[in-house]
Amino acid sequence: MSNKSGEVQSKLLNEEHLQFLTIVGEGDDFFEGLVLSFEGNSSKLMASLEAALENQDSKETEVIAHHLRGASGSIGAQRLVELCGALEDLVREGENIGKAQKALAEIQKICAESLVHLKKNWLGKK
Amino acid sequence: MNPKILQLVQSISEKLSKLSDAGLSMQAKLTLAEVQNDCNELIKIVNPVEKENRVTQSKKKILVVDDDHDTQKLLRYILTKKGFEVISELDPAIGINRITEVDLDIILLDIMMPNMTGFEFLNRIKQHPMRPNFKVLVGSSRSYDRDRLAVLEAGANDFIAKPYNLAELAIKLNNLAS
Repeated sequence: MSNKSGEVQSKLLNEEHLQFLTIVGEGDDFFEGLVLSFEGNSSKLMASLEAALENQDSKETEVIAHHLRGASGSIGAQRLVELCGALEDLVREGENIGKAQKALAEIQKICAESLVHLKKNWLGKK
Repeated sequence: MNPKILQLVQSISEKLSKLSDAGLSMQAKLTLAEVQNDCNELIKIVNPVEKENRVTQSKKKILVVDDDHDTQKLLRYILTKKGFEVISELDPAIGINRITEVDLDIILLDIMMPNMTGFEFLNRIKQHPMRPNFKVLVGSSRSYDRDRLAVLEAGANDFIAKPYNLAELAIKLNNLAS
């Protein structure tokens, strides 16, 4: 969810999604594998996003942001989902590169925070 | 078999499918989905027509068409746990060929994909000369009313917003499968 100035204000993690995975996946390590896979893939996707922005390739930026958004949704990283959506909107609307780079910096920060919280508060529950 | 039993179970199932899941806890949503499943199983047992078919019935087959690898992994895991046989396809251009190769019950279709959008996929299904009798549930991150209507107009049976609310997804798929 974003306010009038486009700032994302949602919760860091989607607890309902994580509870569902915890209940359904009780007794196996699927979710841990998903989070670790996300950790590896997300750093590659963010490096690709940085390169696409430097090349001012808005189509590529939109495609990668969309991928990162989908992957973030799988692990319940709610705020990251919305930040990626906001970046998709920014490049689709042809906003200047400065705004998009600022959005990417926020994505990188929230991605790191999400992983810390997931590992600390959710992986141990399974 | 008393036909009243079948009538009552069908009535319970219909009421459950109308029950809004807003405000329910995660455990309640899961229980709701399980009760619906139980009702569907009961209908199969008490309905003489279903009873005849039950012997040959197998798991419901679902084709998941989504270009995101992590989403595919998650859906395969969840839907297999929920009793579906899952066929995954990252490339919609290949996925479209599966509709006649496999006897599908449901397709869970993404909208924003390279090579072929979900709308193009729906259009290809519509024009298919031998369109088998499956249901299509479309998932999209663009979930304004106009987006939902566009998906339904394009021939989908139902719509669900992305990222998926997994409890809602399970309920919708069970409803479509029954």
